[in-house]
Amino acid sequence: MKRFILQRLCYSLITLWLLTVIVFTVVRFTGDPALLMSEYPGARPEDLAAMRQQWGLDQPYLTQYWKFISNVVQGDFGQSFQFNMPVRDIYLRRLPNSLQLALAGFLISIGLGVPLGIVSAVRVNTWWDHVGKLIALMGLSIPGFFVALVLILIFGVMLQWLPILGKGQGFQFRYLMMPAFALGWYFAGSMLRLTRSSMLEVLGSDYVKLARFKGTPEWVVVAKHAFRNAMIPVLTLAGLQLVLMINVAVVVEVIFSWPGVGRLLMEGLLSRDFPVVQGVVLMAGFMIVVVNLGIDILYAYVDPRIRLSG
Amino acid sequence: MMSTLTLRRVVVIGVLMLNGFLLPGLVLAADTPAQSPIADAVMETDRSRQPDGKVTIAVHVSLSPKWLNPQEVPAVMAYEFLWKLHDNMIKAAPGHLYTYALAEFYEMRPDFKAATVRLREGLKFHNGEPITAEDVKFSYENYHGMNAAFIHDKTERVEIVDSRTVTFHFKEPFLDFLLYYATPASAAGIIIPKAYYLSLGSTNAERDEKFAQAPIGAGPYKFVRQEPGIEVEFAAFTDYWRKVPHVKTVISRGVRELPVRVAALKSGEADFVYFVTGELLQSVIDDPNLRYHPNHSAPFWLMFPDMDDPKSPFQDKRVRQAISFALDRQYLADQETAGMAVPWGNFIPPEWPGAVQRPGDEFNLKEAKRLMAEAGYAEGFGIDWFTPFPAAESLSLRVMEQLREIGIKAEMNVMERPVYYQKLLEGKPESGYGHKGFPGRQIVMAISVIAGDASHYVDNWLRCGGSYSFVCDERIDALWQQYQQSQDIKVRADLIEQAQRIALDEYMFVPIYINSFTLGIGPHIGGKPENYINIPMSVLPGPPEDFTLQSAR
Repeated sequence: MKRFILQRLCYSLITLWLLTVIVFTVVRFTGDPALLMSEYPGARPEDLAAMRQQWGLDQPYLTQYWKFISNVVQGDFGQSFQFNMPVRDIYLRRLPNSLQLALAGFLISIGLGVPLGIVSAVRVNTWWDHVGKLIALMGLSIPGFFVALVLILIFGVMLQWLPILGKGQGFQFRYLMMPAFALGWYFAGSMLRLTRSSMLEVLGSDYVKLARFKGTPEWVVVAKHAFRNAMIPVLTLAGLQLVLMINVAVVVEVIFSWPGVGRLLMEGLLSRDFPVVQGVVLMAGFMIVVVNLGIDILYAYVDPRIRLSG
Repeated sequence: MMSTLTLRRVVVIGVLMLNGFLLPGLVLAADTPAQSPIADAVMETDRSRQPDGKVTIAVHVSLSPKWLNPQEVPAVMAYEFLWKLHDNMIKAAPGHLYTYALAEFYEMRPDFKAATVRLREGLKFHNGEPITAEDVKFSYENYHGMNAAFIHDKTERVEIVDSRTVTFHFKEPFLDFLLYYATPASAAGIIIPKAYYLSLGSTNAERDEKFAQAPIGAGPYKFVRQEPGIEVEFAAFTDYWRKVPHVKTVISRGVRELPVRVAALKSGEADFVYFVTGELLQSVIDDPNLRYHPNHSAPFWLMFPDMDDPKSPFQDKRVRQAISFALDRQYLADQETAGMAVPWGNFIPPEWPGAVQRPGDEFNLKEAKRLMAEAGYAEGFGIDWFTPFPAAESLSLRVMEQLREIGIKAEMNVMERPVYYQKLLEGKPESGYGHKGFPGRQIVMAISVIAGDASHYVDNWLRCGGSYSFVCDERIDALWQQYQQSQDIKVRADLIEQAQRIALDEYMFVPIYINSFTLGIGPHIGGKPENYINIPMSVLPGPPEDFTLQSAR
């Protein structure tokens, strides 16, 4: 087991290192941030040169990378060009907002996807099932930005029931409702489909048939015997989706001006703020790598065949 | 209810009338660089007002905390914050390029080698500290933002004459000093508290970082709080020298997405919305609860990177002229900006001192075809690319359609803004023709807002070797040399005018229209839209202390 964990840890570190190389390199192909931030044309060459020097962009790439990687291992992602603050500080300031949004979206995806998936499986091939499948299809095919704009139009502009911009001061549920629904909508679709297929598989298993033969009420069969076993893969997916939601809510955060890390990434990309882009991408990569590592270890612990073959 | 067409005509006529009233006034400012008179500030002596209510501004770009610090101003958009939080010694105000602000006196020595400014009496920063000559001197000497190296290179020393008076001594005649000191060309004339700034750290980098998080200024609004990149809240500074602001709270929010900005305007979450454009502009025009202002910015124009190549059709002036006549500028303005853009014949914004005032060529397809035939291109020709200014692809498509009418065919070469800017910088090759960033045969669209005056445009866009110049013309370069050597304001103005006329008469550039940076205004804002869009060389509504509300919110 120790060897397995060590092996997985090494793979994770190599993955993260490769990510630093890729993000460092790719972001520098996107153009000169000094030109963008000075609203060029208009800035003098000496002003642009001063900006580049301040940001260390006049150094050779290897020197820049060495400085970057040395700081990263100490948890320092550098100073944002645009905000003139440590990237770590801005990220940690925005992260709770993304967590809040992701958690709300997660609850919506679970709250919509799981019950509908169960109903769809239990009432398979009835109009309940067809409605469930349609909702799943819509969830997976209608883009989040479209859902967001429709919600804004109806609830923000026409009815003026809910605010459109930002998250308000402190925690205000009204501000959270629309962005959380727009975010959770897509994941609800995938949750619904997985729940349905998982339930169908479990409902067709021998022990469930035995329970029915024994005269167990149907609701007990579903709730006690089928549901708990069907939820194993669903929970695995849910965990991964929560991490994803924190990091991929870019579109929803931009549309609703939600002050999260997704919007921070977009701001960094649009202004070529290299430290911000590097920091946000690395943090997202780190979270995903850590979650995957945790799942691998958990699986290996539960199923010895995995650690023996790994 | 007016039909859309009638309403459009009214808007166009209104815009033309506004320009008719505005341009004569602007001629004063656009007449002679650095010679525009400094107007007295319009002050209110009644200090009994209690500011009330809130105004929210939805800005079309991400907000940067750097905009709160005039010492490191990187760009003109920073004035979204600077004019709320801070104040200049002399600055633009409604109807005047230069107005006394913190200063009550300014004098430039006849040899242009020294300039003296004097503070008003009794001025204070937001923290209650008095504003003194020390702060004025420090703000200038320590300034390290846009054009800092340029102005410091020209400055020999800054002398404190008394507690309110400062004299700037220059190494050589600095005729354009006021242009740099009192316009967004630099923020060296924005005064910050020296003692407070220095207390924030031992280096400028440390101080800048901390100042941007807790700024103190002398402007009509104090800093309250910010969510970096998201929003900044300001509160009225009731001791502001000019007047007590009407509105208690002003919030600037970054809202990049146009549909969301317009939605916020309609829902009442935003009171001012910047840069309403495209199809959503019509929805704002049609909404009886909303108002708008065209808010003209700068002209779009076309350039020809290889016009110095003898083999290029663009080398022939008749071809370039034909392109100008082939453009139906009013149609483009109607389609792109609901008629708010103004067809124009110069690439320099008309408000800029020294800009030649020149309407755009009338649409004349017959004449365009005749010119093309005369030049030997009756059937037209294909070119490699049409490169639009980033985010102006819709306008570019329409321009390309119109050029096809005279046989010029191209594909569009879309690129992102930083890539476009990078290519502009690549310049002309050391030998040969064309442009390194835009090789081959192509037409490039541009728009440019350079704080300063017309000479900055000539320097950057027209003279050979200018930062983004596609032009190498001996006559223009000779005029530029004379301009740099001259110390006569009128002679310099005339030289810049001549340089522009050469470029425009020979169609080195083909201007299209003055773009409309339409400002959307919500129902809670008091007064008329034109009350807020009257500051020369600015597309930002203001002054913020003049914002009023229909009713307290």
